[in-house]
Amino acid sequence: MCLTVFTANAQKKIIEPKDTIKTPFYSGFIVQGDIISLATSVIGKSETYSYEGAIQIDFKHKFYPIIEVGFAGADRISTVNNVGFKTDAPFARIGIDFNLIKKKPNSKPNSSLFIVGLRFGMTKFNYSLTNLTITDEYWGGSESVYTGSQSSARTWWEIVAGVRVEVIKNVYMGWTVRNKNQISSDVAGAPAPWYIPGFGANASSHWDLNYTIGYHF
Amino acid sequence: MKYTKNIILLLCLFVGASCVTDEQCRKDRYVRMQLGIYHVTYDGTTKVRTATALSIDSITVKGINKDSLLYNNTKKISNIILPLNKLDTISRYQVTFNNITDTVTILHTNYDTYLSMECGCIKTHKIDSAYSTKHFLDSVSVKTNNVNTSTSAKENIKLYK
Repeated sequence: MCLTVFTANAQKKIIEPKDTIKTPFYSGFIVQGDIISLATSVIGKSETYSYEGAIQIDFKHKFYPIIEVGFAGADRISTVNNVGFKTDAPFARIGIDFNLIKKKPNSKPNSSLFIVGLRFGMTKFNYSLTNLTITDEYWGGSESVYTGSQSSARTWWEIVAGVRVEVIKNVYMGWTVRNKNQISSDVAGAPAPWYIPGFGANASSHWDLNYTIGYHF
Repeated sequence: MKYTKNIILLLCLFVGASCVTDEQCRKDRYVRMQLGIYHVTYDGTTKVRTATALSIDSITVKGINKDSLLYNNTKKISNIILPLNKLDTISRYQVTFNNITDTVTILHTNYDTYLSMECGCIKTHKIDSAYSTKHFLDSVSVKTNNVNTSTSAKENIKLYK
């Protein structure tokens, strides 16, 4: 009986290893920029452009609160009816990423991250619609409508997932897939923006991709 | 030969896909007012007025001060669909029922309604009141005030004989 208890205690001591390498709660911060939006805006002759960067705090290599800020705009003329749309404005997103790769006991923190996270995005901007005319085919005459500058404030939320790899010491690269969902919506019949800075084309939801390069301080 | 079909299919898909463009208006821009023509019968014993749809042998409609006809001697119809003036708040029509002519006047408010970049803007209307001369017609009443893309199947005005 006594021998059984002694054996059980001995086994318990062997099973419970101690993690001697402690990860500090605050583990630095990462400054990063998006390459895809920069490349498509600078190289491509797109109707839209966007530049964005982020600061992300590293808590225990597990939790990564993030602030993303950027500047985006659009300048488009419809080939159907020559209606023009123009806007540019800053935008911001706040949120948090979670690293799903677990650190093994007695090992160094993994330099690769598999992250999932949430964002809340917001922007306030002015936009203009040009060449909007109403023509009366039967009674005759036409008039221009919504000729002035329109203002709008939009909010949205995002689910993000992606990977980040340390390519050289403290330099991280990786991609993030985003599913963006607009919280605010258009008022039926009222003018609506074609493009929302930070969100993209005005729709209830759509997918987006970021490829970031960042430095871990 | 084995792969030819697949290659052609892929080429067709590619060509088909390349022809697809997002720059199209897929929204309804049709805004018209619908007027129904009714004959009113009065039952003296029950003291009840009953309106039944009246089929007109021949109808001709045009806007006042306009040359082009909206209906030209159209046979056997009991309702007409007319455009309201987009840039004015009064629309007046010369309606000839068989050989008798009345002037129908609609007072309305116009609203700018934005659809999208590709579809642009349309005018929607709210009918404030309606009246007519009484050569053929007896009276006019407004049934549905709003005239927009979603009310195109609804009757807006009742014309009583």
